[in-house]
Amino acid sequence: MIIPALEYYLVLGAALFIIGLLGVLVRRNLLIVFMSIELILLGANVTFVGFAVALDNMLGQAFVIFSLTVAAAEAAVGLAIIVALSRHRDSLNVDEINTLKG
Amino acid sequence: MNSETLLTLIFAYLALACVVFAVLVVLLRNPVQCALALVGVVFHLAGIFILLRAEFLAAAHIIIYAGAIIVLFLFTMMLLNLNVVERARQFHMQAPFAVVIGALLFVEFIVLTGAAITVGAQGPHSPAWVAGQGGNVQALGQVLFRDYLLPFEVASVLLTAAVVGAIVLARQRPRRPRSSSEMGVGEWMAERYAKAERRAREPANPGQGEGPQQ
Repeated sequence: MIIPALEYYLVLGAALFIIGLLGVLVRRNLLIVFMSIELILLGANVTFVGFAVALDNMLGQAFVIFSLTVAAAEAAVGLAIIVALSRHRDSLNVDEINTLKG
Repeated sequence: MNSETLLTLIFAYLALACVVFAVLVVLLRNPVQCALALVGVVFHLAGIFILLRAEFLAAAHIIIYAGAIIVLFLFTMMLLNLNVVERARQFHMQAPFAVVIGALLFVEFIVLTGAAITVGAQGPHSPAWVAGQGGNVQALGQVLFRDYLLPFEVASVLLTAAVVGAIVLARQRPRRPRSSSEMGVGEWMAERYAKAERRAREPANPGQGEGPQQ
């Protein structure tokens, strides 16, 4: 039994997810878009842990560890891409990044 | 004030702080301030995990997010030495549409939340079982290393691949098109001779020649 009820945790997870999604859609700075992706992952983590505790199943908490691993890997590779990108261009505006060729 | 009300109040504060900091991440202009707001989100989220009695994950979030990922963000910003506050417009033209769609999606999530509570059966890991294992950390270890050992090892392979990929992507390209290890032996010797001859021809002014003086 968790206090407060599971619904509150789910709504919090959904709120974090939506805010992160809006950040990805709305911001133009590539670094902040990446931070918004981290917000999305955090929202998913809250939902995982909430269900894991409410349903007495430890798998949800174990899965959050995998989610953390993926978040760390994604941040490392994504920031390396940003570093490589900034060698070619001055700004990190997502509107100007529209080719795959270097 | 009974403990249930107290816990609800603590949850209300933590959740509100999470949402406020998350909105700051999206709205602030300076990426460094955004990263610090993300630290605020992570710390309050760790409080929420403690409220859920998931102590290990609370500590793991602080260590991995605040200690590794956000520091990586800050390092990147300082390495790039960008003009951090860009004068250009910060938001897309599509912002109003995105907000409307996000609000609709949020309402949909809340509706689904009401439906989701009724599904799902209770799992085997009751609070009594967790207490019998010795606590949250021990229980999580039992599940992770006994039932899900293979996915755990696969995650370590993923991390290794990410490290190699990050190094390859962020590596400085060499200035010269070919390094000495890629030259043929004759070419390498010719270059050495040319260097030595140049050094022998102008011994009077040290420090002007190429390479360290011997």
